[in-house]
Amino acid sequence: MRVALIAATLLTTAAQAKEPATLATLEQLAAQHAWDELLERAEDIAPSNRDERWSTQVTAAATAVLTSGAGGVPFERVARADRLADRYRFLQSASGFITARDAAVATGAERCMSETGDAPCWKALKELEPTLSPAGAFSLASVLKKNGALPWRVMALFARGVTAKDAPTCRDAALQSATLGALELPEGDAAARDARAVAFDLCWAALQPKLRAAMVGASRSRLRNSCKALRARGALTDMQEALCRDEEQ
Amino acid sequence: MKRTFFVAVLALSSFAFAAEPELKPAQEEAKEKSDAALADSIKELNEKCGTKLTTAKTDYENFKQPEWVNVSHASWCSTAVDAIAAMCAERPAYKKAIGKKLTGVSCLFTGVKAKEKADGSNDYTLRNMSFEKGVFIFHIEKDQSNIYDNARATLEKVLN
Repeated sequence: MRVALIAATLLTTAAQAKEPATLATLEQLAAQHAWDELLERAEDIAPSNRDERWSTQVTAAATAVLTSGAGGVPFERVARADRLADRYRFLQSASGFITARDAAVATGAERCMSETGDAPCWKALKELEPTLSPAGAFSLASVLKKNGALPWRVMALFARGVTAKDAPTCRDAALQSATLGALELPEGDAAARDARAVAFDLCWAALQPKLRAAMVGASRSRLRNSCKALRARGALTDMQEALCRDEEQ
Repeated sequence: MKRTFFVAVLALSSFAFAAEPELKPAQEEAKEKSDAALADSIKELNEKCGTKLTTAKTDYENFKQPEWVNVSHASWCSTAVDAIAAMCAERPAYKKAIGKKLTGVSCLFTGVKAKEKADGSNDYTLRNMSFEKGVFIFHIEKDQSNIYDNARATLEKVLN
């Protein structure tokens, strides 16, 4: 009798566990913020039935698991994001998920630098940086700059974050500081090239006063990076023009 | 006529003599050190910049020896002069401008503008350097720092 009861219970439980989730189930799980379970059961929906409602629930769940809780090792959330993006390919172009992953990289970098020291973090970031969105690149650059990274290291990320001429990011103090600093690098350096593009093409309106001020007592590298562009904009004083000519000879 | 001329000459001589400040022994000794250090620097300045300075103006009658114990006061002015010479040596454009505009250097113990609470490491020194009517003026005090770079910065600001 007791054996029969146990068997019946087990069978009932198994039947319940195997019962495939419906869209309504997923929405119910979302309402309960049962994100992990939602992600586990989302594939119960047949591919042909995976409509916008389904992708909305999955995106919400994937974004939520990246932004909730303390997280383990510094870049653990990024790894989880990438596993989810492999499993649910559409996440790779879901803006909310992209933003959450970008944030996971930035917070991971900040934690990495405070917990493990710079070297392993730079190694991890080298692989992660190309995967960031423009906004993510900008956020990471800001975090790195705040943590003492030099202009040559962050300039490319800042440059990626300026997506249009006179973009709001042009007014960012950290970007301006990095750009002015990178103009002190040798002319052929990649960071100097990025700095020239930001300074003289994309963010000229916002940076102009600082670029002009930096010409007082300018180093040779600054002159080489700045003379041509400043001359073209009529922004050189007579003395600066003379100094530029000296440098160009 | 002769007597009038003689009186006039005597008066002028007395004036000239009176204009030369009387120095105490410690001040005299300090000035000699400064003059020696400055002689080389001024010579170099003239060579590098094409200026025609004979010396830098100093006011050792205001030098207070106890304030400068163990501090090489003589190097304050000569360091500033060396910085200007270096600008000319490095950049032809500066050489041309400085050679044309610099007619004197004054290093004075008086007129020092005080430190301020918000001063960074260079502000106090920079506040006491200026370029007026062709003269580089440096009001000297022993707590000033980074004289070489600040003298350059002062002139670069004026010239640019």
